[in-house]
Amino acid sequence: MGMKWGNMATNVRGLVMYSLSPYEQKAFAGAFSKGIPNMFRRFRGQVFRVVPPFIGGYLIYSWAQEEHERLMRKDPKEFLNDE
Amino acid sequence: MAASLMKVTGSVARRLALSNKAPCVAALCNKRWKSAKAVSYEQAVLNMPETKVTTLSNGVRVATEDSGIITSTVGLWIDAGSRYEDEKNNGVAHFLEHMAFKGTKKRSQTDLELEIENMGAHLNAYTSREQTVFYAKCFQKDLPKAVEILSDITQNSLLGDQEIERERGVILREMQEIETNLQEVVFDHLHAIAYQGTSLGQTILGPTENIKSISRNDLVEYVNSHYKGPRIVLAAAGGVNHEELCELAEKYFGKMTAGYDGEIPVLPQCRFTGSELRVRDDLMPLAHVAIAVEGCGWTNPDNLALMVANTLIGSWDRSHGGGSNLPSELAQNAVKYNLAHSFQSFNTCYSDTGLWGIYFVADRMMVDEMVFNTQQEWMRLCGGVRDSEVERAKNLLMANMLLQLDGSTPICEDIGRQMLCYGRRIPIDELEIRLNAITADTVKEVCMKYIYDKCPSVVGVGPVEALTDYNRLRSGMYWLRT
Repeated sequence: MGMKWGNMATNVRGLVMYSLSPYEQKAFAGAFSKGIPNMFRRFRGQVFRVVPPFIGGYLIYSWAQEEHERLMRKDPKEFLNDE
Repeated sequence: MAASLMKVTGSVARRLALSNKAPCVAALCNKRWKSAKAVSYEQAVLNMPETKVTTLSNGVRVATEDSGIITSTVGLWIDAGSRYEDEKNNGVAHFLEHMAFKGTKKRSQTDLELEIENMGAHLNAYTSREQTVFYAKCFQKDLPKAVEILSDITQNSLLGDQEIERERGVILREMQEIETNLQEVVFDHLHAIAYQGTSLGQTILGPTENIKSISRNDLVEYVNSHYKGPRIVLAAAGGVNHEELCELAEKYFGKMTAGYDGEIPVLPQCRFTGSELRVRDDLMPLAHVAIAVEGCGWTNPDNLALMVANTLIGSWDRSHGGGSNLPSELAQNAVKYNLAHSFQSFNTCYSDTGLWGIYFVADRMMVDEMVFNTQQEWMRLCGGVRDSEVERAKNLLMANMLLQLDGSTPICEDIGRQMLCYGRRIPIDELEIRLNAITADTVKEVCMKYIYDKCPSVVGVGPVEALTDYNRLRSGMYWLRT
């Protein structure tokens, strides 16, 4: 209502903000030379944190699927003595 | 001249006495007398005393303009300022300016002060980013003495350790004083971001650590590498005889060295960077904002057109009369919509670059509006302004430039600065021809070159929440329409 740029916060002090014009920056600076090696570094750093739970999760999932399949089927042994 | 004047007034008086029944005739005579005697503008310009320039064998240039009055200003203009410093010795040039008055090998500080006082002279100095200036104002008859003192304080300064220690406190206090002047603060910030990473971005006083740590060695080194014959101009104006001053210069500055033993310092490259700095302080009553694009250097032929553009924006203050009938449209809007408390267009020049822009003080709720209106006006300059406006701005600019030259000190300053910036003094008639060659099309062309679609540097100090976001401000630097 009464809020406009200029009076949204009126007690900010000592805040220094700096920014560079987007035209002064290279948007893809070092994408190949730095970016790709960095991808490997990040992968290495996180792989043991991310992959084991996924493996665990998949094992549980596949086990659950199989178990479900199994339970959905009639056990032939139960019908051995049927006439 | 005076005699003929007496004669004419005498005859007018006589006719008055004769024809006291017809006062209109007398009035007519009076008018004719005025038009016959008043010098036309062209004559006045031609009658300006010429600027004589002599180069001594060691490269020191002596430039004078003799207007024949009984006082004169003489000064040393040295092509050395904070731009030639690096982050380690930033502040040395300004420190030297202070140390110059603290005694030499010949005279102590007290002697120096007494000598100046006894002549009734003024001795002063200032340091800018590109120039260091020492000057004295005195009676014409004291000129030799003044030149001697100037040579003494610049060449034989004692630079005593005790005085250096004492001066640190003085400079730190000067720094505190500058920090209370928000315009200075904003412009220092503007240089710091617009020329970030280069020596023009440094302040003149230097950072506190440097002021505390500068040693005698730094000062001596700076003098030895920069106070060289070819980089010095001895300028004088007022009552001054050129030949006499040349002799004095030869005597007192002839021993100055011209060449370098080691590396010759080159003018450091200073690249302009479009960027933004906000120093937010909501407890301040008003927002102080400066927006600048890269202008051009002193010698660039575009400079004059940029100065006309600068005059077209003009400056304005709430206390100015005129209401909404002001020549500058931005001023009209400022009055109409209560945009700002004051604004001032500026064109700061250095040898190869410059800052062209606006500084304004506005209420915290109006900052964005003011930025918008400023940019509208800038875009209007780029799209072409009316011929009548340009004519008016040219007249105003010429008048302002000539009105500055109203005494020996401003004239001397003009000579010294122009000798360093242009290597010569530009005669007024040349300036006028160049100014007259500027049309609305020239202004448009130059504004398109320097302003349109260029990245500005923006500084806001105070309650600047409403200061336009940089990306929006950048997109206000062009218009998507024909």
